[in-house]
Amino acid sequence: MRGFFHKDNQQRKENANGLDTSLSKNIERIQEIFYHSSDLIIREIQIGKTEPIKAGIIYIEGLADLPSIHDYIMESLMLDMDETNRKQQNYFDFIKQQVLTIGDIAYISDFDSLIKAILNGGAVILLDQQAQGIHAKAKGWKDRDISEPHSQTLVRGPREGFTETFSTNTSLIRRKIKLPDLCLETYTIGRMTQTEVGIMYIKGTAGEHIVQEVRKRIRSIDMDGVLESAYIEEMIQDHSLTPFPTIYNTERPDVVAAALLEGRVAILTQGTPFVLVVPALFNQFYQSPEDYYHRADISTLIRLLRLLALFIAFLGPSLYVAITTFHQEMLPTPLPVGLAAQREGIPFPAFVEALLMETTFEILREAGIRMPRAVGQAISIVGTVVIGDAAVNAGLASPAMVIVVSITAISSFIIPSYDMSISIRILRFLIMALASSFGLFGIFVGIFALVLHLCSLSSFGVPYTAPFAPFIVSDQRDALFRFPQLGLMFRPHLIRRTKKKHSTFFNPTS
Amino acid sequence: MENARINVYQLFCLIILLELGSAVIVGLGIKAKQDAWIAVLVGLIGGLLLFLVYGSLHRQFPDLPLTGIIQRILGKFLGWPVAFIYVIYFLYIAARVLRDMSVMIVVAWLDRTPLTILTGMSVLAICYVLHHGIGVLAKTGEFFCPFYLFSILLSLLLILFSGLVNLENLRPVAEDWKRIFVTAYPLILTFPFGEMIVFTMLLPYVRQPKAAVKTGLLAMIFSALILSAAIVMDIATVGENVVGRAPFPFLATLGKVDIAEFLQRIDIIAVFILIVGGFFKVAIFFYVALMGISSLFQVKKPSRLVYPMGTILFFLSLIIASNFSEHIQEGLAIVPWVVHLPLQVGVPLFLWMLSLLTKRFNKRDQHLAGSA
Repeated sequence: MRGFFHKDNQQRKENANGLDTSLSKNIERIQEIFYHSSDLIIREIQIGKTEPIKAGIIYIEGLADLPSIHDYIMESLMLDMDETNRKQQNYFDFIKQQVLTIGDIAYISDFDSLIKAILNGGAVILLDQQAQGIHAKAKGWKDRDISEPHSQTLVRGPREGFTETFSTNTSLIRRKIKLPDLCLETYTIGRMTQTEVGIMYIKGTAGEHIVQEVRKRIRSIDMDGVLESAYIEEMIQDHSLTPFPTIYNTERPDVVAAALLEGRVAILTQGTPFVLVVPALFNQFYQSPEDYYHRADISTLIRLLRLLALFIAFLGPSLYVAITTFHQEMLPTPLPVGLAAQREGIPFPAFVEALLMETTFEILREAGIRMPRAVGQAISIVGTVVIGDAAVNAGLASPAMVIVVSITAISSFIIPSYDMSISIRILRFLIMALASSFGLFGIFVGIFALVLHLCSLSSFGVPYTAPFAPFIVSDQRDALFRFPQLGLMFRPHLIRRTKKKHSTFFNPTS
Repeated sequence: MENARINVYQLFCLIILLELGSAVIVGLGIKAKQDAWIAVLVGLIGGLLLFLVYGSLHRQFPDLPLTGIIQRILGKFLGWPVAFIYVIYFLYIAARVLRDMSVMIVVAWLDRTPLTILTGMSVLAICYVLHHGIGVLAKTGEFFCPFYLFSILLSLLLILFSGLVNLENLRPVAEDWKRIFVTAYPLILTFPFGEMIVFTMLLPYVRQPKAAVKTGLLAMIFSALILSAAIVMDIATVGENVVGRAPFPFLATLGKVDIAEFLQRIDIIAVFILIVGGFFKVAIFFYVALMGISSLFQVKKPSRLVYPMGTILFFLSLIIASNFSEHIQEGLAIVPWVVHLPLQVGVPLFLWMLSLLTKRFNKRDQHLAGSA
């Protein structure tokens, strides 16, 4: 453990020394360090029958589990202890070995680790005449139960989701992969929040260079607080100047387990059900875990449908604007005539019309997320009025535009990853602007620049657009298509590879 | 210069995109009338031989781009200006292709948009590419190439199924071999096959040097077959007369397709094909020019030159000809003879022979020295 307390708090620094032999002095000091906080409980007791000795039990109310402190510490010490059993043992070893009926115990000898132990929900036992203490890990705060994840819902598949508790999350993964090679490395990050952050991978399956890189980046994080895995994500991503997510996040243990089996690395954060998975490629963001829970042929078709939806969500309004403004000749003659008739009373160019409707929709969507649940009904009523018949009757939008906006909106909900869906939403407006000024040529230039941008991205050294560019034949089994499980026995090429250097390890043909 | 490497598949894609680039859209070899498609194949033979010469130069100096090879063979004093001429040449071709592309967009889509805007947009997009370097360009090419080939295949199939193909238009086959040869040499040899000269600058980046030349030859044959097929379709559908007059025959041909009164006006595919091909062609030539200039002037960060050079490219492409007819006339009558032939054939052949001679002399010297 690094001495976080040394870093920024002068007061603490002075205290960063060993415990005193006097119990009352130690207790006084702890009181001082915590500024006499009222939730710090210090219970002074006497233990031993023949030669009583003063002892103190220190913990924070609500963090430590009261029943276990009562039953396994206080009861053991005050009622059941029989020091006639003590031979030549050190008093501490005696207590540890024969008295305390609690699982996980450690010795502490300085204030730094004492404070850390207390703040992590442990109970600390101090004895008079001893410059040492026992840290009994009796953590017991209230956890949320494991429930169905809200962000990624499936028709078929496991119903459990991660919770806010670190150890619950790691156990959810361990339950799925019963393998000693599944490693967990825990770091404490955040100067003030002291958040547990763990990286999990399967030794021998995950590329050692990727694990090394994750370790390096996690270690280099230096910030005051880590309240959600997004803090970590932002600090360790390869590129910050991009609308695309280069780290995948999920609430589902099955997704994380699948990623680990493929050789990826999971990053768990205390206090959030969202677990990060790296490296994350573009490919992953339109795939759903359900693809693997249905038959291969169905999954492939659904995946292609999702890709089509992604395309519509991205280009729908732009294509409509470009074709109706610049390229009417591309449509069969009756269609542009009908469209022109619809747009007759509308005072705006198609672009402004599209912008108006799209913005309205985005506002509705954002409102739907932010507002209190109780008024949820209102949004659907208002929504149907604003984007719907009323807008058309008011002469603000043509019926065709309403259809385009609606299908775009629905399509954007199909994208399984919320992060990717946001990126697509933002980029849609950019492409719309290009389409309104340069027609299809503008759209093309936009796509060209975008593909190029995607090609320049990487996630922990793995090219973001793999397995399409660089093209990897063997990985096509699980890219656009989903081959039957028999064909999926091979792990993704780039992630499995173990080589040291970044720039050279994507070399598909050699 | 750059650490990035490209693999053979990426090289293959880039060659296809460059060879087909603008050639598949314009009426290639139409001077040979209905036998244009034969002229392409005849021209291919010369092109392959020429590429073998380039490949041989590359094998002798595997780590050097063309500009470096020239300076190595001719010496710094004579080699530097020649290399510089090549840089200007690459930039010039980039400007020409850019002009082709912009005009095509005006003709096909945006007839009221000024050329300046379209050229400017394209230059900006291409500069953005080159800012990321050859590795990203190659990956992007790899990504687009399947779509590109698919579009060409699709359009050829659509023409076939539209029932417009009239094979009578192709007769008499091989009417006049002299005319075919005159068309193939030098016109088709220099455009598109001679343009492979640009890859002499990129071959040092290929990760598997031994397979590079073979891949190049394969890609050339592949693209020649596609070109030939496209011209057969053009001529069979609208006749050599129209192909000869239309600025973009492929566009005209696809415009005629009408399947079940539903699939019509699919010339959008032709525009897509030209834009993708054109973009990559300009990008490759421009990148190579950039590479050359930064090595000749020993600029440490080539990416700094991207936007200044982009500005030059932009203006060059606009002032290269006062109108499209002049542009085409220059491209068919002057440029092949005055620019392409000496730079694509003359200089490389000369360099090649010189390098072989020096090698032989060196060997003999060593031999003499060894025996003495």
